[in-house]
Amino acid sequence: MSCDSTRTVLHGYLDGELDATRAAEFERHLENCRECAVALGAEESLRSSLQRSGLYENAPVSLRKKVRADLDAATASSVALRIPAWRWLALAAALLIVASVSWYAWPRVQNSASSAPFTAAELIDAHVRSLQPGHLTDVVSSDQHTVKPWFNGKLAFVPPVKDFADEGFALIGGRLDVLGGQNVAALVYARRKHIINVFVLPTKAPLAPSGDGVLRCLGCLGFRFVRACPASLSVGIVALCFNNHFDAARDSRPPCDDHAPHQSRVTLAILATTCELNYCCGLLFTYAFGIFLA
Amino acid sequence: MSGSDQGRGPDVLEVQDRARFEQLVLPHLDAAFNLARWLLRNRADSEDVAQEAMLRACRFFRGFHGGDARAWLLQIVRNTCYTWLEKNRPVELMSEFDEELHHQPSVSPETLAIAGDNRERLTRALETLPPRFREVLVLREFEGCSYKEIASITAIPIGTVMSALARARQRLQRALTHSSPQEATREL
Repeated sequence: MSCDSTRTVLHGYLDGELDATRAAEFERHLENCRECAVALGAEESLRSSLQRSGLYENAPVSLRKKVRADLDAATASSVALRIPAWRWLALAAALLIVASVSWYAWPRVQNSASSAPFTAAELIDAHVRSLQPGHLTDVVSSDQHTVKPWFNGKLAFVPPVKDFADEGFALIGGRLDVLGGQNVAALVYARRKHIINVFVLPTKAPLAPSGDGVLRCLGCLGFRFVRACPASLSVGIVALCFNNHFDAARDSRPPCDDHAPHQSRVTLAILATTCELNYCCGLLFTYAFGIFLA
Repeated sequence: MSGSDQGRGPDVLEVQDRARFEQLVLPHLDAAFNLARWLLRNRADSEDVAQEAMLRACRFFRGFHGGDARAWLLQIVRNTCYTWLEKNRPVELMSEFDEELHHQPSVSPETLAIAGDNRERLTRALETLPPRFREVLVLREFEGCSYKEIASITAIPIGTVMSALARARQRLQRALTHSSPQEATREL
């Protein structure tokens, strides 16, 4: 065994990396080779110098902090980074739609909610209820002079009552009803077999245009209505019947419009009422968010 | 490792991966910094490079399927250091690794002990070694790595780890003892 190769093996021996056979072989060699013995002594001395030197450098606190921050960033953003761009676009578009719809509709909703004395749903309910057996009239008369006095003492205002039989809208009678928590007069007219309810109620402001928001959904639900606000009486009038029955009424003369015929009109705008609009927004948002997460 | 910077998508840690990373890899931050410090010989640069290496480790962590986390991390640190050196100090990497093992007269253990007790001289001697000698010494003497670990970290065949160490130690001895007379005269 030449001392050159022994020098290499010496390091394996020093590092404890030799198998038992080779280690024993080297130990035998060591007994006879003074050079190797000295070299081994030198290596051991060097090793202990290195290990005692305290030259091992621990990571500074600043590095530890930076690595932690990096880790936080990598972990926190992981969910965000995994979502493809088109989903972000979808979410942005959905938010934009919701925002613009809200922006467009909210003032109207606010407006209608604050100034309208009743909701469209109440109006429709009242109309439908009137068509149920025994609900249509409290006073049955085609004579306006019988119907009008019947309301005396029952309402805080005097509803204008007029028969339009000559125009094809015959007065059937009247009844008390409730809209938006206040008593109103309901005048009932018939055109052929079709029933038209005319609700008469006191309003502080004219129903048009502030009441629009409430009433707009009627069109999309298959109803038509007409509003009139006789300025002299500060009374709002809403006439309601099913959609296809009303054209004739509008084409001739809406009932009760002798006071302010120019203010009557049919509105068919399709928009939601307060609660329906919120529901719509909620649906839109849920749908968009569903796409986003899918 | 060189294709490290592909898209950012799969780079990032899942929450459960992060817990594993903190448990397995983060405890070896000292080892990572120490290796970088001895390869780059400069604390500030080492801090940056060690940070970069930890980030890389984050990215590659999905590819780590158990085993020796320290060796895995140190391999990344070493590669990051060499990339940095190639870019910033290419001259340092030009030293010949397969240098002949010179025959040199044995230095007595006593001389070495005296020279080795001087911390500054030891530091300077280590730093004068070419990086490839320095790293095997640091891994063996400071980290206590086995030959197998050294082989996997430095990408040299396991059969040559022993001779690499032999050459590195010889160079260190020479650096220590050769500098000492000059040091002595300078100190006088």
